This record gives sequence, C-alpha cells and structure tokens, in this order.
Amino acid sequence: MSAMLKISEISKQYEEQAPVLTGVDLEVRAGESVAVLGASGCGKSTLLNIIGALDWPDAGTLLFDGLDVLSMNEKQSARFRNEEVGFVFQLHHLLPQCTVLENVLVPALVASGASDAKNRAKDLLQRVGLADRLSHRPGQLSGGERQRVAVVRALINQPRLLLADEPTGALNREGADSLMELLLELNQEENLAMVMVTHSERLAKRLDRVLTLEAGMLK
Amino acid sequence: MIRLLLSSLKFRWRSHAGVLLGIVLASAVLTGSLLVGDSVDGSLRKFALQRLGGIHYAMHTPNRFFARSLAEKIDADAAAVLQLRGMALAEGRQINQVQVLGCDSNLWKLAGLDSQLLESEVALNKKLAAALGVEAGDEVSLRIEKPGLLPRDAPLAAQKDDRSVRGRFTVSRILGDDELGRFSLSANQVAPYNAFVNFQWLEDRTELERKANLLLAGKRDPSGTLAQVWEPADFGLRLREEGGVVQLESDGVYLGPEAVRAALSVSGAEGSLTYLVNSISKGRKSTPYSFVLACDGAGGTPAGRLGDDEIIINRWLADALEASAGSSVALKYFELLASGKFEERERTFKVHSIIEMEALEQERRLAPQFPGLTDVDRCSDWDVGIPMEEAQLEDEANEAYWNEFKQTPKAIVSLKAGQEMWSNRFGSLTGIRWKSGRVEEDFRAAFNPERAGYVFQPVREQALASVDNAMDFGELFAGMSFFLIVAALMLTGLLFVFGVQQRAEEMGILLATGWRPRQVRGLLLAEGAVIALCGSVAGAWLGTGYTKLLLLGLSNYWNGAVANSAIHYFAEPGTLVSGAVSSFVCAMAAMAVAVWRQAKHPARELLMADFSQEFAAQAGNQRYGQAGCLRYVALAAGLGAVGIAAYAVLAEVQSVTMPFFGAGALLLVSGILFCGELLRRAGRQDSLPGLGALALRNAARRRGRSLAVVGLLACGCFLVFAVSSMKEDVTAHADEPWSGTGGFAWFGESTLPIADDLGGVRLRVRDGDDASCLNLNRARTPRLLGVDPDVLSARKAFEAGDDVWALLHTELPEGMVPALVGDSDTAMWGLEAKTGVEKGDVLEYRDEAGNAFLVKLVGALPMRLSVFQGSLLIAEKDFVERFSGEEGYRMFLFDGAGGTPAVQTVHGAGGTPAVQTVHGAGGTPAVQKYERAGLDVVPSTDRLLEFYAVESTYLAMFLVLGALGLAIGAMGMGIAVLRNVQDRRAETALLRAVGYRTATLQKLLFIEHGLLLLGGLGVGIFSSALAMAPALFITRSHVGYGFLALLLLAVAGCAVACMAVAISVALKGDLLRGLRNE
Repeated sequence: MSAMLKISEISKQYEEQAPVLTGVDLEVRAGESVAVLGASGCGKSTLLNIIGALDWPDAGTLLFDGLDVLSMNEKQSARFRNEEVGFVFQLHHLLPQCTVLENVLVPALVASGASDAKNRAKDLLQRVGLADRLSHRPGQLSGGERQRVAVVRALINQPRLLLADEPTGALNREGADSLMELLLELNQEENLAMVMVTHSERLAKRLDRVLTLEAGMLK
Repeated sequence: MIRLLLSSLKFRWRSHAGVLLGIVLASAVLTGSLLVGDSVDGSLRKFALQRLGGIHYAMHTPNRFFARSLAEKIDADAAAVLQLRGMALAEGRQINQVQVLGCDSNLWKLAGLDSQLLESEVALNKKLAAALGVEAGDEVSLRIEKPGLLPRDAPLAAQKDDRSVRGRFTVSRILGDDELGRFSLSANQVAPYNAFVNFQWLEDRTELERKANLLLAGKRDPSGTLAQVWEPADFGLRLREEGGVVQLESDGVYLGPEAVRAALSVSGAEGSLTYLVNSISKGRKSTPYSFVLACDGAGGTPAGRLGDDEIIINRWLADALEASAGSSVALKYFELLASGKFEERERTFKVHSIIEMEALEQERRLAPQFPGLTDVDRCSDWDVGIPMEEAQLEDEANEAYWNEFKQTPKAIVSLKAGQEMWSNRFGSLTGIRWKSGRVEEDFRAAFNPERAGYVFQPVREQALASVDNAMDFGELFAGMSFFLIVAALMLTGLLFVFGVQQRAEEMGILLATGWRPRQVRGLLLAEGAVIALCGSVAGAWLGTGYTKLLLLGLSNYWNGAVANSAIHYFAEPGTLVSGAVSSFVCAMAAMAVAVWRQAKHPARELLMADFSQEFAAQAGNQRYGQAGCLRYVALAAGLGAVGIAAYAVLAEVQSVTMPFFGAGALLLVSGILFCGELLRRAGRQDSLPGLGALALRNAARRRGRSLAVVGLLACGCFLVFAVSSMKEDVTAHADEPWSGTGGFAWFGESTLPIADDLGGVRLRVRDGDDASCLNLNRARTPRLLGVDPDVLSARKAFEAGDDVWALLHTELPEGMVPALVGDSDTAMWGLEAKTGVEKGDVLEYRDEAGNAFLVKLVGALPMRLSVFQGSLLIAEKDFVERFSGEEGYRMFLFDGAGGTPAVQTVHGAGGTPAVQTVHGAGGTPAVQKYERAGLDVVPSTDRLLEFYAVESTYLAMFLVLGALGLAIGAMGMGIAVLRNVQDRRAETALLRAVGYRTATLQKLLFIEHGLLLLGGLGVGIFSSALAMAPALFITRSHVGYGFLALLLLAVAGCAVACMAVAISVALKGDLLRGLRNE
C-alpha cells in the first residue's frame, strides 16, 4: 500500500534559534498509527503543525495523497485542514459559549456537504459516551469528557488523518488510558491514519510505529 | 515591592502606554473644559473692571438731574457726568443707541488719564469708531436727546421745542478698553457705543445748565459725605420767600414724594397744587384756559377753610361769568391717562366767595413756573402738553387777563378737591408753604436724599458679583464634553483591563506564592496609580491646549455662544489641580473595577488563564436572578417611555420637548437592557445554524463588554441625534400670534422716545440689565417694558391658549407689581427664577423717585424664545406710575405690509423692508422724523435669530464634542475587538486548525462586532427618534436629515474602520502560539 502522507527533507528554524527540524522524512499509510516521542522543545509540535498545514517548513516536501500541501494557497490549505485532517491538542480548546454538540459542529459550519453533520456528531458523541451531555457547556464537563469532545470535533468531517499533540498531557493516568483506547478504536473503525506526539513511551507503544525526534531528525 | 513595581512598569510599558494615553485624553478634556470656565470668568472680570476703570461708586438718576457742583462737594476727585442717549453719524452711516457722556477732566482721572475735551471735540470708543468707520481727526455728528426738567409726558410740560440737539465734532481720540472706552453701569460683557463730549457744550445745548445725572467716585464711599453736604438746590429744590411766605418748589414743577414727605413733616406746612383748567363756566358764560389754585389757606392764601365742593373766584372771573357767592360754576379739565392721552372731565363747585385781584398779588408771585406756559407773552404762544383749541387760545378777554394778571389764579379750591382732579403720576403738589420760621434747617433735617433715590451704588462690587453669579462655562463645557470624558475613561478602563488580563498568570503566581489577593490588587493598583498620576498631570497640562483650541473655536466658529465677545485665555492653578485630581480619581475608579473583577478569580484559574467556567456560572446565576430583574427594568423603562410620551401629547403639555427627551432616554435604557437580554438568550440557545449564530454566541460570551460597546454607541448616538434635533427653525411660524414674534412682522426700537402713534403696538422702556442669553453676566434688574395688556390680549399675541396678559391685572399685596418674563428661556436661564402668581420670585426695583418697589414674576410668555427675551413686561399703568420720567415709547411692534396706514408711513409706501426705508436718504418727512429718533426697525424673525444664535451655537458645539466622543467610542470598539481576539486567541487558532480561513475568521469577527455596532446605533437611533418626535411632528422644528444621515454614516464608518483595523491587527499575529502549551 502506498503512503497517504509522505514528507521528506523537512527542515525548520525559528529566527535566531537553533534549527528545530533538520531533514525529517516520514511516510504514513492510511489507517496506520504513528507515535512521535522526543524531549520538550525538540520540535514535535512544529512537525505536527507542518503536517497539518498550520506552519510552513523552510525546506522539504509534504505530499498528501500525492498532492503538494506546501504549495497550497490559504484557501486550499484551509480546506485541506477542514476535510482531510483532524486535530486534537493537549488542551481541548472548546468554545465555552457553545454546547458540547455545537462545539463538535464548529468545523462543519465551514465544510462543504456537511448536511448530515449533526446526526454524525450525535452518533460520535454517543460512541464516546457523551450522548447525555449534548447540551452541556464545556464548563460543566470533566477534563476527560472535554478531551473526548475535542476528539469527536476532530472527526466530525471524517478526516483521513488525525494529528494529536499530546492529547493525554492534561489528563490523569486513567483518563489518559481511556482516551488512548478511544483513539485506537476510532483509528481502527474509521481507518484513520494517526500521528500522535507524546511524552509517554507506555502509550506510544500501543501505536503501530514509534519514532523519536532527536537533533531535528526522526529516528 | 517598589522594585517589583518599577520593573513591572518598565517591562509592560507598551501596555501601560495605551492606558496612559486614555487617562491623558480624559484629563485633558476635563481640565480643558474647566479652564474654559476660568477663561470666560476671567474675561468677564476683565471687561467688568475695564468698563468701570477706577470707579467704585456711582449715583445714577437717569431722568432726574442734580447739581453738577455736588461732585466737588463730596470729593475733589468725584466726576459728575451728563449721560444722555443719542445717535452718531459719519460717512453716511447712522449708529443708534449711543451713550453720550458729557464729562470733564475728573472722569478721565478715574480712567488714569490726564485729558480734557474741547467743545468741538468728541472721544469715541473703539466699537463706535469702528461702526462709523472713523479715526482720530475725522468729523462726526451726534444727535442727542434733550430732556426737560419736567418730563414731556407731564401735564403742562412744554412740547414744541426740539427733543434732540445736534452737534458736529472732530474725533480727538479713540478710547481703548482700558481708557473707559467700555464705560457702562450695566452688567454686560458687550461694550456699548460710547461718545464722550465736553460737559459745558452738552449742558449748554440741552439747556441743562449745571446739571448732571450721573456721579462717579473712586474707592472711598461718598454716601456719608453726601448726607452732610447736600443742599436743596442740589436736588432741584428751592425755598423761596415771598411776602413772609416761604414756599418749597421744584425745578420739575411737581414735588417728588420724599420732598413732600419731608416738607409736610415740618411744622406749619401746607401743600398747594396749581393746574390749568380748560374752562370755567357758569351757564353760557365761560372763560378758557385758566389757572386754578388748590390749597387750604395756609401761608398767606386767602382760601381759609373751603368745602370740597366750594370755590373762591377772583373779581375778574366773577365779572366775566356774572357770578356771585352761591352761584354754581363748572370746571372742565384734562385728566392724564396711563396711556399718555388726556380725557376731559368736569366738576361743579358752588361759589364760596369772591376775592379781589389785589389780594391775589402774592399768589401771582408764588405761582409755579411752567416752561412754555408762564414764560411767554401771549396765550396763543402757550406750548403745553395738553390738547388745546386754537379758537379758545385766541379768546380776547383771556388774552387781556394774561397781559394784566399773568398766572394769577382765577379760582381757588380746597387742596383735597384739587388733588382729586389733578393729581397725576408726576406729583400731587406744586408747592409747600410755611408762613415763616426756620424752615430750611428743619427741611434739611427731615429730607433723606437716599429715600429720594440719590444713592451711591457700589457698582464695582456689583459688577464683580454679576461675574461671580454668571453662567459657569466650566460646568457647561464639562457637561458638553461629558460624553467625551466618559468615552475616554471607558477607553482607559478597557485598556487597563486588557493589560490586567494579560497578566492573569502573573497574578496566579503571586497568589500561589502566598500573596494575599489584597496585596496583588494593591500591586496592580499601585502601578495603575503611577500611570494615572502621570496621565492626569500630563493631561491637565495638555488641557490648556484643549482650552485654547476651544477658545479658538469660540472666537472663530462658535462666537455666538459668547455673544461675539472676545474671550481671553485665563487659567487658575486651582482649576488645573482640580482637573488633574478629578481625572486621577476617575481613572483610579475605572482601574479599581478592572482589578477587582480580575482578582476575584482563584489562583488555579489565573495560572491556567482559563476562565471557561465563567460562562457556565454566569448562565446559571443569571437565569433566575439578575437577568430576570433586568428584564423587568427594561420592560418598565420601555413602558415608562411610552407613558410619558402619551401623557405629554394627551395632556397637551406646553413644552413637549423635555418630556419626550426624558421618554427617549428611558427608551435608551430599555433598549440597552433589551440588547443585554437578547445576548443572554443568544448565549442560552441550543442550536448553532451558522456563522451568524456563532458570532452572536461569541458576542454573548463577554456580555458586559459587549453591552459596554452597545451602550457607549447608543448613548453617543442618542445624545448627538436628540440634541441635534433640538435645533429649531424659529422663523417657521413667525406669522402666527402664538409664536415668539406674536405675529408681528416688524420689531422696532428707537434711541429717543417717540410719543406719536405709529400703529401696531408700542411699549415704554425702562433700561436695565439684559437678561437674555446674549448677556453672560447675571442680570440683577432686567429691563422693564410697559405694555397695554388688553391690546395684546385682544390680538391673542404671544399666547398659547390661556390669556397670559390677564396676569398683568393681578391684584398683589403690598404694592407689588405683577410682571411677565419675556419668554420661558429668560425665566429658566437668564434669571433662573420661578414664575407664578403664588410662587413667583420677587425682584426689587427703584422707581423714578428712588423708592424701592417689588416686581413679582407672575408668569412668563409661554414660548421658549420671543422678541422680548431678556426683559420683563409690566402693565403700562404700573409702568407710568413708577417711571413718570420715562417719556414716550421706545419699542414698537408692527404688522406686515398690510398693516395700518401709520405703519405704512414708517415703512414707506412701497412696502420695502422697514430698516432700509427708515434709514433711507429719500424717506418721507415722517420717516426722517423717526430717523432723528434713532428708530431701527428689523424683521421680528431677525431678532429671534439673533437670540437663537446662542442656542444654535451651543448645539453645534455639543455636536462636535459629542461626535468626538463617538469617535472615541468607535476606538473603544476597536479595543474591544482586540481584547476579544486576544482573549480567544486559542479558540481562533483552533478554528484555523479545523479549517477556518482568515477571511472566514474576519467575517466571524465582523459579524460579531457588527451586531454590536448595529445594536448600539439601532437603540440610539430608535430612542433618539422618540426624543425627536415633538420636533418632527409637533413643533415642526427644522431637523437636518441630511446632516443626521451624514453624522450616522460618519459614526458607522469610523466604527467599521476601527473594527477593521483591530481585526486585521488581531489576526495578523502568530495564532499558533495560542495552541502551544509547553
């Protein structure tokens, strides 16, 4: 099977700082899950942001299904993020003024052909055990519940790639394990490719591949 | 602690710079406004001192004259002045209402000058010279009133002599403001037209030898000296002895009340009254125009005790009428009416006895001297102020009597009978007699010059008091700048909160390390205090620039607000300090609220900078509590607004403007609260159909901040729009009797009194302070106008339903005179007085004789603005009773072109504008006659517009300052956008991460803040529309829709621009930082 995501020779340096990425190569197939380990500040989140077209490298190529993501204009990259990629961050970043269901539907508001998004949102929320929390505000949920809502929001437009930036970082062990279970289940059920940045080797081992970012390169 | 404070100030200087700017702005506007008050106050004080020079005390008796030598008696430096009204002519121009002052070198000493005018010279003040277009060395003519010692309105006063004299002069100098050029005793900042001439010349030409009517003195109060040095002759009184009889007489023929009181208190005094009757007849026998004496026989008269129906006739008359003791004779005489007209009356007497002509020799010598009557050779030369029949004047027998016996009385009646017939407003006695004795000493002891009106007034003290009580322009400008100040403070608050919220983590750390919340708040407030102190002081200093800017506006664009007076810059240190302190306190209050709100979060939330619980808590708490309460307040305010408006219309409230303004303000409150309710509901809805709904939800997230933006814009819009609608077209209903013109097309004022009936309505005038909006000083005794209330009542002029003129017939206790205030604005602003028959304020005046009397403000003409603004109206009968010296009429109201023939005479047959015709070179003799009286006739609407210019300017100033406030409000909106984006940077980054384009995010923010803009403008416009309703539908005021639309567009455009800039700046940053949590 050919790689859905293919990045090569990606390098990135922030102004007046040491290079963060110095030639990263990575291929991810559909449905594959990859864990990226590394010390704090080694560039894991930067790599994830570049993959998700939120940041741009100084050099290298990034192909998604053969499409050159780095050559996309602002409109195309926004569409790419909206339809092909789902993001889960360490903090949930839910909108406090919106209900659980509304938070999930936020990406669908700007998606094309998302007419059945509401039903899918309800299905997914039921799937993650939040069917009775649809009209709750984030302030009324626990940390684990909020992060589950964030996962459902990432999946609402049926992306093929899920990028998770330390999704369990703010959770306790039990919550972290539960969320990990959920992510792996979804990975299987939705045939979802997943790149997850984490500090936890224990959780990383549950993914298909484990890579370490060190000195700006994936090993 | 101090080190932490300083390092924090240094580190966060960018954030503090914004707060500093906000405080500087608020302080500059507040201090600058207060300094405008200082400047107006300082300028008025300067004008007051300039107009008086070194004069501290003044005795002014406008229509009565005293001996010029009195000045030398009381103080070598006191100046006697003959002050008369006049007109100045030069270069084909005529300037009316000129104050002509006959003076000597003593007056110039009071101005600190060593000068003397030759008889051929005149000194003009700058204003008059500029109006005439003349300089020193040029030729100028003056036409000056020529008053008589006996007012021309008085019975038997000479009429035919000229009422004015004319002189031609060379302008010797133009007097500057510091050289008494502004001399005036009226509390007014507007300089009069002044012409100073040689005293000798003026008294010679006006035949007022050695007379003056104004006495000026320096620092020492001359009242005590006056009481000691006066002599009867100083006040026109003389004690004449004839054949053992001493008689008190007056230069003005009739004795004044104080002279009468004092003389009658001297033992043995008997009064006498001499009058010229039209005829004395018995049956068909009659003799015309005869002097009759009324007295009770003391002082050598042969009358003895006469019954009030008895008469003694002289031998000549007995022979002429063939009358004897017991015969019945009829006296016909004229009675003087309040209107100045004479009405013939008749009274029958029984002849008591006949007196021989020799016995009346002494009476001939004691008879009063009537100018124009007793000093002519033939009866046909008589010149008296009563209508006389030419044929009767030619009566040969009477002429023979005159040749032989002159003013020897033909008959004698009792004093009581005489006073019943001939007493008039000028007096009831022409002489008081004593048989002998030390009369003069006793009379001097009894006579009180002060009670006779010869009183020195502390004019300098009064002038400064008028300035002290003048309108506070500091308050006025602070009020006009109020919205600007509030907007600047809100901006300060927003910026400070912005800074404080950015420091949430720092606050959390301090709390986590053991600082108490109070200490954390103290640290933040200490930083704020340093910024507030710097900002307030810098703002106060910059406020001087704001003041100068406003004064520049007052000099060039808004000069109507200060009646075209030059306002100079003055600044009191105390005002600067109070402006800075007030700004500091306000800024600290705004910052304290911000700190308090931020510091109430627990350390954990502050450390995480996560206030996500806030929304849930708010939603829960307000569901049944505060929100419900506010909903009812909104509803009540809305219903109140409708109720007030309905009441104002249904109850036919006279002035609907203020109720509707109040209703509009209530609707504004209701609208803002309603917006709050909408936001609350938007925050609680369970569906999110699109971007618009998300934007609304975002707006609802920080409801307080959103409402602040809505409120700021709504209040600004309301104030600017509602106030701009108050601009009235005062000429709109000028032809209606209920309008401020009374339906009269023309308004006339003459410099010299005119006795002729010109048609229309004429009013008598007693000069006083101008209480109109054109006078910035506080008026003490406003000008009094004497009007026939029945004439105006019959025309329903100046009425709004009720017969307001009937109030002038109100019977009041203690001799109080009922008065109407010229219009409601004069009552409210010029006098700040209550009106009403029961509760009306009372003002003290002095009548012609110097007696104090009270004027009660029983009402006011119902319109806001009338041609009588600044004056009080009293009934003509009350006027003439108290001001017998005010001859004729000096104010006129004329109908339009279709008016009476008399008016057409004034206006010219061609119906051309009156002012041109009256002044035109080719006028008719009649017109020229009135030109010589200095008659100015202008369209009544011009007079209204002149007054309205003040209000109109205030409105313009308010609009400019209000619009500036709105611009600040728009900037506040931009700050709110920045703050919102900053608060939600993580969310915005997330939206971008899930596929929102920059354009979509911009759209979202535009919709969110555009909704607030629309809400603010909508509520402002809707509520101001209610406030404007009377202007639109009832008073039909002139509303500049185009201007309002432009203003609306400008405000909206400014807000959108600020929003666009803020959104653009906010979305330009590195949004990804919001997602990083390392």
